[in-house]
Amino acid sequence: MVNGWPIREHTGVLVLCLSILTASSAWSLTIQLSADRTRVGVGDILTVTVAMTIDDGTHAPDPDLTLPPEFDLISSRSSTSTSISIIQGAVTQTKTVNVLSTVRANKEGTFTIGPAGVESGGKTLRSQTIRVQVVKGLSKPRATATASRDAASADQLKEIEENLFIRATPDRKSVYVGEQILLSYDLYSRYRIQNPRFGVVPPYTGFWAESVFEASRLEQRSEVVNGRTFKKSRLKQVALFPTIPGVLKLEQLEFICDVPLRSRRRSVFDVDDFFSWDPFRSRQVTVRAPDLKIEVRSLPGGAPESFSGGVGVFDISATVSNTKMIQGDPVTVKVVVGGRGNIHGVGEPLRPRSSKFKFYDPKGTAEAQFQGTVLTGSKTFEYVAIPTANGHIALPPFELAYFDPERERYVIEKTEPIFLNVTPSKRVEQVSMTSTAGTALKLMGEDIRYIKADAANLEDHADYLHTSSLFWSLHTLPVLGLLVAWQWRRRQLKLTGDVAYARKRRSKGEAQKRLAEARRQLAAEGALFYSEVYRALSAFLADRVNLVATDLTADQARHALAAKSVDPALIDRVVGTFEACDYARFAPGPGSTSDRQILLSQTEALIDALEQAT
Amino acid sequence: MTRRLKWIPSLTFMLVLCASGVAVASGSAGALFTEGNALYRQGAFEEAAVRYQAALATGLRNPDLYYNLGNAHFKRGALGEALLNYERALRLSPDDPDIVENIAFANVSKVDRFDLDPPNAATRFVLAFYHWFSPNGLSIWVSLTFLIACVGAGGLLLSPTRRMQWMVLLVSGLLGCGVGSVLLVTKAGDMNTPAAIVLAAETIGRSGPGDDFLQVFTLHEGTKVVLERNEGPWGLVRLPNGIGGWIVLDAIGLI
Repeated sequence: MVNGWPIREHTGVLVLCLSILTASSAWSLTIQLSADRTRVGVGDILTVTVAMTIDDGTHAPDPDLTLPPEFDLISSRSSTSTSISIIQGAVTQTKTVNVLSTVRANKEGTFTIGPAGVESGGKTLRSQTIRVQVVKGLSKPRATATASRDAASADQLKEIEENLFIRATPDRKSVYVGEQILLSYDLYSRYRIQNPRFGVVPPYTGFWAESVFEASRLEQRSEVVNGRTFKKSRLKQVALFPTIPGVLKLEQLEFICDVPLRSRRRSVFDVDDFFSWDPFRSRQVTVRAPDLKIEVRSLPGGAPESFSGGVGVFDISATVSNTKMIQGDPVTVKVVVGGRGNIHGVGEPLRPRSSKFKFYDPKGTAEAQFQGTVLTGSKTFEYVAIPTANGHIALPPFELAYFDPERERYVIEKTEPIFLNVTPSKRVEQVSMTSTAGTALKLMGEDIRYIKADAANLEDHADYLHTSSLFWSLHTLPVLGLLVAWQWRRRQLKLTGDVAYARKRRSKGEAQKRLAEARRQLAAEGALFYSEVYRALSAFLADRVNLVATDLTADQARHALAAKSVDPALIDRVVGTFEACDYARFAPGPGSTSDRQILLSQTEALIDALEQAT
Repeated sequence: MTRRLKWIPSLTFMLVLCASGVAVASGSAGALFTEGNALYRQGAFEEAAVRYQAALATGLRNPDLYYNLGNAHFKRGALGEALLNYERALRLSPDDPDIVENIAFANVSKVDRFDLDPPNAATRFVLAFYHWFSPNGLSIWVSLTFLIACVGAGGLLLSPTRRMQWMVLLVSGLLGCGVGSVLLVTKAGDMNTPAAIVLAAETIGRSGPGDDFLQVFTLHEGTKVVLERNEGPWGLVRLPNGIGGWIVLDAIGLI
């Protein structure tokens, strides 16, 4: 089944699928050409497919296929499938038309099939072409009955032909296009045949063929022909539906079997013949049915508009998925055409012309079976219809005309009208609103949102922050701030928790304060200057070594500094300074200002040196 | 190859673009934008698109410009080009409701549909959060939350009192920064993933980079795909349902 329509099954693999054609957007139409093979023998059959896809709203006839003169068109049939989608009330559909043409190559060489073309809107859309190589044919004619294992004598051949043959019997030899012919093949034999099998099965050029019966084993019954008794076996029955008018020749069916042959020895003294003699020897024989010609008459003119190719007796009926609906909502209309005849040739019925409904192309399915030897079946067309009006409205009848070959006239069948109750669209009601004047506003359509307003200066969004190294490097600033805060907090904790550390950290500042006081007393007479220098140095030392400043003597300072492995020379300078201060404080006469200046400078240098040393 | 390109309108558009190129090259991006809007209002959508393209040719990247260009393409019937420019606009301004709405509107016209399971409520929330932020917005979010975390940490260090408040500040800042960073990395990854829109009316996906390979699927105009890698004129694209296939690169436009 392809696209819902049964087709004859392809035995070969699809080896070539060429091209689509360029198409303009305005057409919404594509056409594609393919063939089941690109290398065939002379006389072989090739199936060429033209696939055409049509979007919503585009109308196009069936495509035309250009064939080289070396090819004969045997038959052509088309199938249509439709895909419909309904999204938010908007219905779109795509129709695919497949035209399968059976052609036969008549001459060796390389030929070009195509292009296929279709006209739409005054323009022609064409597919690409297919190159097909035709080589020496495989369908060689054979004798009516031939012994193929080794050369058979003329007598043996004559004997075989007289005792083994096929009869092909059509139930009628003159039919209308599309009218069924039942063709029966019977094997007549006076042999006990072995290994029976079919050879070449004819393609039935110019006919649509449906197999009715095909023997899997030979059922034999006796029949007298020309006074001789034969065993008759029904090999095959096929229903044929001619697709073109004229005198059509039916190709021959070939049947192969092994036939036991008698062989006489010429002489008991013929040694070679004696050893080659085989009383059970058999020969492989190919039996071919005789040629047949069928007269196919054209259908009479004056076919009604609704005639779509049906030949036989058909009727038509229609149902809907529901009879109550909202305006604008889709309803499925199922139209079934059934009866006996060429059901596959029946096309779409004539749709009713009504302004109250919009119809979309149908999706079709077909079923066929044999009742006895007569092909019967039905074809279902499912339409999507949109009611464009509301109220109690009638779906007008679908019409189908067919040709009745028994009465030899066209017959028109119609469906019964179907009445529907269509209420106004809810969607429109839902979006209705009342204006201040009291009239209802209705949403008539939807569109994209409008463009952005004019702007003299458009901001450039080309740079992304996350790709900027500067942006990320700025993030180190808060981290650095945290580190500084952490260090400060650590120092603060140490100062409050460790007295020795705190005194040491403050020692220099305290000493500088005292030395500054001593500097103010530099010009003053008296021991005050020396007292300040002494206190500055002793307090500094006490802070550095964590001792009580008031108890610090020169000896204690010497010991404490020696314990911290301070340079002895530096210790001597400290002791010397203490002694100098003591001497000046308690000596009878004050020293000169320059002496005090020197002492002050030496003490400052000494404090700096001690800071480094302790 | 069964690919159908809408080459006639595209060729016309390119010719108009070339013809107008000299005239518009001298104009500033803002002036070209305004000119494009004026032409759009007059219904001259092709000419409007040319002006917007010229504005983009100055190197400017602006969501409004891409949005208006998408509108002009939509109005002239180029669905693929419209969606391509809407998507480009969305990348720059993901919280713009006009862009989101027009993408949804244009998507209705697409042929290809993918039946994907709808996300659950949690996923929808995360996705909404994710799409609400632009890349720069997420960067700023990450910076601010990082700063809040630093302030919280600093407060904990320097101020022995109100430790709970500082702790809340620190934790919330770290959480916000973490979530923002994950989203930013994801968004940056998304932006580096070369997504594309099908511009051809129809193009065939094959099992390999060549016309001889088996046909895997057929894509139609407007479908969004992810381009995984290139090989010559062919690119391996991944569809939203996970199916991959090779299509000709001429049939798509990178977002």
